[in-house]
Amino acid sequence: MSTSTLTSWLAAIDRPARQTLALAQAPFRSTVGLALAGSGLLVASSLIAEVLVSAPGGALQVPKAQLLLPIFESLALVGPSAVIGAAQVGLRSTTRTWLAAFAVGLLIAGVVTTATLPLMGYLVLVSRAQPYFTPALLLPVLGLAGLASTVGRVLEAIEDPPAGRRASVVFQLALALVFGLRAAVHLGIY
Amino acid sequence: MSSTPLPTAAPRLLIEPASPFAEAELELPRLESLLPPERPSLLGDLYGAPGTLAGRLLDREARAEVVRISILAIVIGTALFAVLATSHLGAWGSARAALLLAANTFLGLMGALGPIYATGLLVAARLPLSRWVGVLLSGAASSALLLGALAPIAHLAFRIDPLWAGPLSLAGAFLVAGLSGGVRLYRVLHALAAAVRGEALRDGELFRLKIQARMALVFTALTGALGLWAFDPFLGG
Repeated sequence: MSTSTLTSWLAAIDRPARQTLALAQAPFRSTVGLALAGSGLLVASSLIAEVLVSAPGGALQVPKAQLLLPIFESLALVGPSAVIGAAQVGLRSTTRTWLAAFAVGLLIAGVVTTATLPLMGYLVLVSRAQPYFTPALLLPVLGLAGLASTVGRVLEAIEDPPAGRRASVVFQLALALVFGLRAAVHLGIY
Repeated sequence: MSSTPLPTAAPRLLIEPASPFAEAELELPRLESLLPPERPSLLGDLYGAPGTLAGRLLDREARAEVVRISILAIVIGTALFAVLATSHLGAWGSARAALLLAANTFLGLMGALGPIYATGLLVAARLPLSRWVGVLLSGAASSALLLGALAPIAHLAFRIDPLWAGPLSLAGAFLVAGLSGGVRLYRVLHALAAAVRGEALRDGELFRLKIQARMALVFTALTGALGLWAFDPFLGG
C-alpha cells in the first residue's frame, strides 16, 4: 500500500463529506476501490476476531460470521430504496453521491473494526471465564455504527438542514432495523 | 398530493463535518464548489422537479429524449425486479419473468392510453396524445425504477418465507410503486397545465385535472393487473 493511498484514506476519514463529493466526480473505479478496501478490512478484522476469541485453547475454529452478512444485507436492502427515495423527495444527493457515501462509510467501518481488533487479542489473554456471547460479535455492530453514522453525517452536510437531518435519521433507522432483523435470524434468536 | 415548491436560488453555505484535529480549512476549496453540477440525469429526469419534466414534454425533441430514457428505465427497473424476485424459479423462470413483466408494462400502458385520453375529453381537459405518451411513460418509468429499488426486499422475503412474506412483499412493492407513480403523474400533469397556462389553475380546473390523474392511475392499474393475471410472470413456466 502506497503512502498516497493511506493519505487519501485518512483524508476521507477526516473529512467524509468532502471526500464523498470528490469521489462522486472522480472515475467510478475509485469509489469501488474504496468500498472494496473498507469491506475487506471489515470482513477480515471481524473474521480474525472470531477466530481469536472463539479459540481460547489455541485451536483454530471456523468463524461463523453471523453478524457480518447482515451488514451487507441491510445495505443492499436499504441502499437502492434510499437512492430512489432521495431523488423522489428532491434531495441534492445523486446516485454517485450515495455510492461514494457508502464507500466512505464502509472504509470508516473497516478502520473502526480493525482498530478494535487488538482489544480482542487482549481479551483472549486476560479472560478467565466463558462469556455468554463471544465478544467478537461486537465488531460487526461497531462496523454498522461506523457506516450508518458516516453516511448520516455526509447527508446532513450535503443536504439542506431539515431535509438532510430527516433523511439521515430515516436512513440510519432503516439500516439498523434491517440489520437487527437479519442479525436475529442469523443468530437463531428468531 | 401537493405540488413541490420551486427550489430556492440562494445557496446555503455547507458546514463540513471534519475532525477538529485536521488541518485548518482555509487552503481547501469550499464544500459547495465540490457539489456535482446540475447535469441532466436519468433519476433527475424521472424524479426531479415536475416543472422541468413538463418543460421537456412540451418540446418535441426533448420529449423524444424523455420517451427514450423512460423506456430504458422501465426495461431496467422491471427486469431487475423480476430477476431478483423470482430467483427461486431458476434462470429460465427469471428470464421469462423479466421479459413478461417489461412486456406487460408496455402492453398495459398501450391498452390504457385510449381510455385515459377519452377521460380527458369527457372532463373537457384534452391533453394531446403525444404528450400523454410522454407523461404516462415517464410516470411508469419512475414507478419501474422504484420497483427495481424494492427488488432486494422481495428477494429476501422470498428466501425467508416463499408462502407468505414473498407474495406479500411482491404485492406491497407493486402497491408502493403504483401509488408513487400516481402521485408523480398528478404532479407532472399539474406542472404541464401550469406551464402551458402560465398562471395558477382555477378550482374547477384543478378538480378536473385530479380526476384525470386518478383515472389514469386506475386504468393503468387495471390493465397492468389484468396483464399480470394473464401472463403469470411470477409463477414460472
